[in-house]
Amino acid sequence: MTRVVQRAPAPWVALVVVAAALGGCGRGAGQVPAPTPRVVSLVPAASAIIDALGAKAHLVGVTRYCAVTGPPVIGGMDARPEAVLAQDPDLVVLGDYPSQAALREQLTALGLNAVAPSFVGIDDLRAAVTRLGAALGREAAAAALVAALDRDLALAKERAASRRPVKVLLVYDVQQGYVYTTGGGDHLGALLDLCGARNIAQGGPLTTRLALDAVLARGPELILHVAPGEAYPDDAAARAYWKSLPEVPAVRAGHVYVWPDDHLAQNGPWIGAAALQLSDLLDRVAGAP
Amino acid sequence: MRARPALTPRRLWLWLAAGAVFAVGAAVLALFLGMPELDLGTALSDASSWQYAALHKLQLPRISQGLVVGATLAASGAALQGLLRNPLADPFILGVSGGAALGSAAVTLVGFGTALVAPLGGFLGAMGALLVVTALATEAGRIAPLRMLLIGVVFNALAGAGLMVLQALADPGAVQLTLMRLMGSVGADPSEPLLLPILTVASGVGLVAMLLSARGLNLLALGDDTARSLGVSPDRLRLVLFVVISVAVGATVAVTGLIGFVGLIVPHAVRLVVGPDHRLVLPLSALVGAGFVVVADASVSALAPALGTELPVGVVTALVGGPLFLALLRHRPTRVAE
Repeated sequence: MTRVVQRAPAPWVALVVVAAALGGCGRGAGQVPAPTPRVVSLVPAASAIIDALGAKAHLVGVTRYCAVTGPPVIGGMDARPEAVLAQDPDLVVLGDYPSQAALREQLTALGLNAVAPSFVGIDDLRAAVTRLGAALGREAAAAALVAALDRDLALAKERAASRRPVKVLLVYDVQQGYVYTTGGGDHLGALLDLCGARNIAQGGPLTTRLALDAVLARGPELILHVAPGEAYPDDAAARAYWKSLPEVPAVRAGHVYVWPDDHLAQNGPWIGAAALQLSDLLDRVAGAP
Repeated sequence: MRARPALTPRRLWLWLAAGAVFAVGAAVLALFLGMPELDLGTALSDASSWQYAALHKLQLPRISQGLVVGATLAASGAALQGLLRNPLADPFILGVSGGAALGSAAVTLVGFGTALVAPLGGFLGAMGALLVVTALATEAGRIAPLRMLLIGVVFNALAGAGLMVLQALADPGAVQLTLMRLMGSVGADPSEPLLLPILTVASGVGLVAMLLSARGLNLLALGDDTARSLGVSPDRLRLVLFVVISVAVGATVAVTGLIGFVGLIVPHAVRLVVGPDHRLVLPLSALVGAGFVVVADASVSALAPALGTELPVGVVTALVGGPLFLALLRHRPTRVAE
């Protein structure tokens, strides 16, 4: 016959219980609890969309690259599954990026609802806004956001019709005599197309590497650094770099600029406004009234 | 097996002339292959044309950089293989590559990566690696070659781990750009006109020191005791060459990133053809290495219209050098190992 011996709980069990109780108290202490659904966003553009939908209170975890302030930062875009799990989310938003594919599988295996919309093109942006709006019960706000985006894009397209095409070089970075730019196929390529500009690196991969001699040969009329960086924080810094190549039409004419924030580089809810600002810049370069 | 003829001055100069023709021919070929849209007539005569700027500010400096880098890496590989008596030694094995990569990535990823600062960080990293590896490999005032080799390998692995830590903490965009930098690229940056002269001086000093050490390296192949009895101090030779090679290779990695296989494949191919005498192997490796890198770099430019982007030249040297090295080993295993 087997004897069942009941022993007193080990001291570590008591410690775990106390820690869990304290942790549970900590979440609510001094904070307004997040409404349902609780969302963790591991994509800066998704966080911005949720914010633009007026649903920031749903965010219970964001990355350190997200511009949204307030929600806890739980890591980078490759946050640990444990950190996501600790936020007890109803929905986790990732991007359809190869670098996040494994994380998405892990989170799904842990029983979390992880979605991964694409954020590459402008159509993707519309779809992501609609999807997130539906998930958060903000369908009307999402529809309004998409309508505003389409209105701005249509206006930019209309303005392009009365302007000659401008040859543009978009710059992510310059190093070792090479420019890193977009080859089209993303929202930047779509924006240039819509605004009637010609991307001099069109046809390359998403991140295209061009030698400076190729830049010289293709003669861009506008050089636009898509976001301020450490090396090129503003127009003056970018012009100081490019001044060694005055043979490039954009440099000769002084049309070298740095976009003042990351609202052009990131495919977020601000893209409609960015398209109009880009149109202003192209008007200036083309000499349009 | 038929013995090779002794190295006479005539044989030496004939081979060097052949090597120089190869290097110059590669540079001329690169001019046309690297930028097919270049009209040489306009580029030489019309100073106001973009073609003039493309030739003088970009193409010629780029080709010059390729020549310097190729010569440095190939000669360094040949010297290190002799110095360490190890056929697998290459310019990156002493920890210099790991140090340079870590230094360059550190300044870039923490946000100081301007055009000039990144190479400076790389150079300081390489020199730091040299100091650490040399200090750890020195016993009773003498450098132990095998120990240095092993410490170099371990240091590179540690630097790789440090690099991964930096990458985990940094912005994904910055990581991607840093990785591209480390893949190895030859390219002219007219905003930093001092880089090429600095690189040329560092490499030039290293090359001269290596060429002057050719006889000593030949004697070292016979063993330390024999070399000592014939008037060569193995310890002094090792120390001097390790330092000058590390400075030259450190400057190279800092400016261009890691261009692999040049220091491995070129000396082996040269040795296979002309024999093991360092008086010929060292300068001929420099000339062939110079031509090899320039042609590889021109090929990435030539492929760019089809690919829509320019691959780093380090990718091409690895893709060509790897199979070529395997083929050499397969056809002449004994002589390559020698």
